[in-house]
Amino acid sequence: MTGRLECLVSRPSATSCLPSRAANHAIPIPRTHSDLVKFARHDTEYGKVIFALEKVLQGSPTHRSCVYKMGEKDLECVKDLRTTDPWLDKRRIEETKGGLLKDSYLWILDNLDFQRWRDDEASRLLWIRGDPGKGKTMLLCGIIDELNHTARPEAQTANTVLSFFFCQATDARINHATAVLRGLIYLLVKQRPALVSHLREKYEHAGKRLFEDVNAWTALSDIFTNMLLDPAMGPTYLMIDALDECTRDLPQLLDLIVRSSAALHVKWIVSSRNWRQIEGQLRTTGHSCSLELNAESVSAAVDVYIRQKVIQLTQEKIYDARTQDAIQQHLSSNAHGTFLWVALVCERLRHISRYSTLKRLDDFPPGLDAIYNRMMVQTCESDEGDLCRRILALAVIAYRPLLIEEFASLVETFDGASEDLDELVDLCGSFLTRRDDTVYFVHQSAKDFLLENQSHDIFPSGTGEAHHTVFSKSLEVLKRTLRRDIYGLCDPGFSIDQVVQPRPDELASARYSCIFWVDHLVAAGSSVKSKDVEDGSDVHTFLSQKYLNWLEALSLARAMPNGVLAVDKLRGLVQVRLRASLPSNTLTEAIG
Amino acid sequence: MPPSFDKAQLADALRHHPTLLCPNATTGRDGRDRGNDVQVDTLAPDLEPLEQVATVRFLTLPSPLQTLGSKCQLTIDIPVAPDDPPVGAKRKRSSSQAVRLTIDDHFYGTTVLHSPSDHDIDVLAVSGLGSHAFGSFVHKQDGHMWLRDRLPQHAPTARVILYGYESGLQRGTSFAHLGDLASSLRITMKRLLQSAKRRLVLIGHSLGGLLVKEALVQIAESDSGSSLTGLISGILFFGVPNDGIDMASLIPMVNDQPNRFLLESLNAMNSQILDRQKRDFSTVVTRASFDIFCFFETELSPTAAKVSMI
Repeated sequence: MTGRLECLVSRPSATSCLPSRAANHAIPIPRTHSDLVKFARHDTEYGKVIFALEKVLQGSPTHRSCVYKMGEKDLECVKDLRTTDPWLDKRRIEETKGGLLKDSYLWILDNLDFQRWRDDEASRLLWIRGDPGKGKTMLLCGIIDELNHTARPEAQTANTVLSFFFCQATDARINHATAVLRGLIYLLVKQRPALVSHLREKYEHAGKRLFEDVNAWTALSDIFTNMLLDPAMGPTYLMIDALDECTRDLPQLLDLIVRSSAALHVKWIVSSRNWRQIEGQLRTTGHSCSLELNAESVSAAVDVYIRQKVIQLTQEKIYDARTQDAIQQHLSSNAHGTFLWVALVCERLRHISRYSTLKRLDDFPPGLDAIYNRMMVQTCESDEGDLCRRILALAVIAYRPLLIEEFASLVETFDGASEDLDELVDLCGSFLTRRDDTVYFVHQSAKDFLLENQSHDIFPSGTGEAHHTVFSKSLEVLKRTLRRDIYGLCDPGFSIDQVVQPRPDELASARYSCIFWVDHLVAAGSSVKSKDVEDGSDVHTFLSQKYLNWLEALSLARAMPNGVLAVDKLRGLVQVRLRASLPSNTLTEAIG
Repeated sequence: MPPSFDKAQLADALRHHPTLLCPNATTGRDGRDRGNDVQVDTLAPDLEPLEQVATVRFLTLPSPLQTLGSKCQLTIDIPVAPDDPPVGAKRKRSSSQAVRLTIDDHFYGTTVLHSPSDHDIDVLAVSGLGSHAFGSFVHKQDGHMWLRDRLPQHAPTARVILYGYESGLQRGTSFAHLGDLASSLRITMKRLLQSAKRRLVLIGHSLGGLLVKEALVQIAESDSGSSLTGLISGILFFGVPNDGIDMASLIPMVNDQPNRFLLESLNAMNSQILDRQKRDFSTVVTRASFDIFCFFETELSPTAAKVSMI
């Protein structure tokens, strides 16, 4: 006799004995009540039991690993691992975007997709997708803050681990899969020092190269996987912002995300634009939360943002009520759920006089590209239009955000002081923004716009030529700046850790060139002529006169591995260009 | 029987014991007496000193064992070598002359499945309502029994022990209710905890989980409780009805048989007992530091089928 089908013991009943500190220890098994404790020989569900059992058998592993004290070797290893501290990146991003506004992300906490991700054990991967400027990054910043709030050591759920990474395509340090892993691992180790053992194992043999050579991805993904499987690991939230800005090895990264989300206690949130490639790889594993499908919530959040921005502007510009209303009205009806559009328009409005504000409002058409177009026209029409174009061109092809001083030494035909450049950067519409002394694109979409729609304008002779210019300017800077013992350390055995950057720093304007001049030479492609690299060329003179100084500067910039790669690339290039005269060529000997 | 008795000796003894001899399974084609087809799966030192416990399977269940009641056990003496028995746990006692085996198939009380000589942790598994201490952990298709076949590999220093009790839904004759069933379990647990200050991991399925909780509450309430619960490493609960389950579909099965009382106390509608247990248990958990994992079902179960169901 068989009765109705029922869930005999519901999830709430089965898990109500869990203390709040272990609320995540509720684990589903797709079985009937009776079969919950029956596992076949090669049953994958059994892995869940083993996971729990191993945790239990380790005593209170989370507690133990939190109090693990790192030794000197551990610290050294972690230091070599660190390329960036994602917490600092987060703060920088929030600041350059004008601060994180709580009301603009709170909606996600009530969103059903998000709640399912947070509460449902079976839901492991949430993909937040949306067009540029919809506020994905700020949403992630907000989620991090919320989760971190519950993951704080003093909170009851102290065993929760939180790690995240912000990809930025404009910065070569944080735009590839290996960098993402280094960042994620770095934060894991910061919270669970005992996990350093997984790093040390391989680091012992390879040293710093472990993180940098061609096998770094393989090694790091192994380490990462082992860490996630470590019994010391509590429930773990992992987040990556802007997968679309991960410009190298994205498929491998996606694959790792999908694979590791099968680990029992790991939950992922990733964000990106609506890319098919990403959708293709994530679709089967994750749920997506589309900002376009949540247009209503996003719009409401944008409205809150608009109100706040308009109040700020009104205070600054002392608008009358009519102007304030008109701005508010214009922004609300044209923003179409795009935070970035609002931010750009407000930034433009700041530079427009109070009196003409009303007349000029129609200058701000809806749509990001329309705004960018308008900004471009205004920039080019200014007296310094040509120089602005070159500044934008340099910003587009640079391998990382540049310092003002670096701009000054690398912009073609610019001979002013870096203070003058300050002003010029401000002139570059609102494409660029400054924080401290570094110049960033306001948003990835600004760079995309320039590359896709304005190439002919900012690169009249092609990007190859632009790279070539940066290469030539770089060599100039290097020749001018580099000399023996530039920091006056006197002792060749000086440890890099004891080096204090002198002020003013003679290397400041040359650091970028030092690291990237070869990359620009390589990227110049067909613009490289054999006269650039043959005997007697600038490269040749530079290497024969300054080679050792260059290496010294590289090590002062802690960029020796880049130098090694650079020499490799240079060798390749020279061999291709000068195959005929190779045997007698002193250049190949110098870098041989 | 000396504790040194090994699997082969035991199998041999069971194969040829006259009491257990199966009339039609004994003669092979060559006319030789092959005895019962029997396999000794586990053999481990029992909790009692100088005793061992084994789990054994018979291809054909010898008739004396087929009629073995749920509470009975069969005792056989083994003089020197050949003899035979059934599905179930065996206890071997060393007596003066012969080796005395007791055989049962109900697995009540403790059954040690695996006992490494250097074990530093005990894993005690308590089965669910109306189910078999051993059988409820056996996979129906491939006969895999994870506590016996897999666990020792993952926890090489763990002694694995089953705990069985009578709670059948059908033909129930036990008047035991939650508290009484838990008292027996408490005695076993205390004994494990006090013996060598080893750590203890508890596994509870369904009602077994409620017993575990109740026994822990009882231990914590006793004098030496706080130090003993400190030796608990953790608990794995599988589908434990902490809030009670709706017994509406189960109660017709037991009619007015005695352990209807137990079912009633599990009824979500009549859950003072469980409410009290919840409060007490959370106090235990707050004071102690062990880990708890709760596994829950996500597939629907047929109700009130006349088999052991929980």
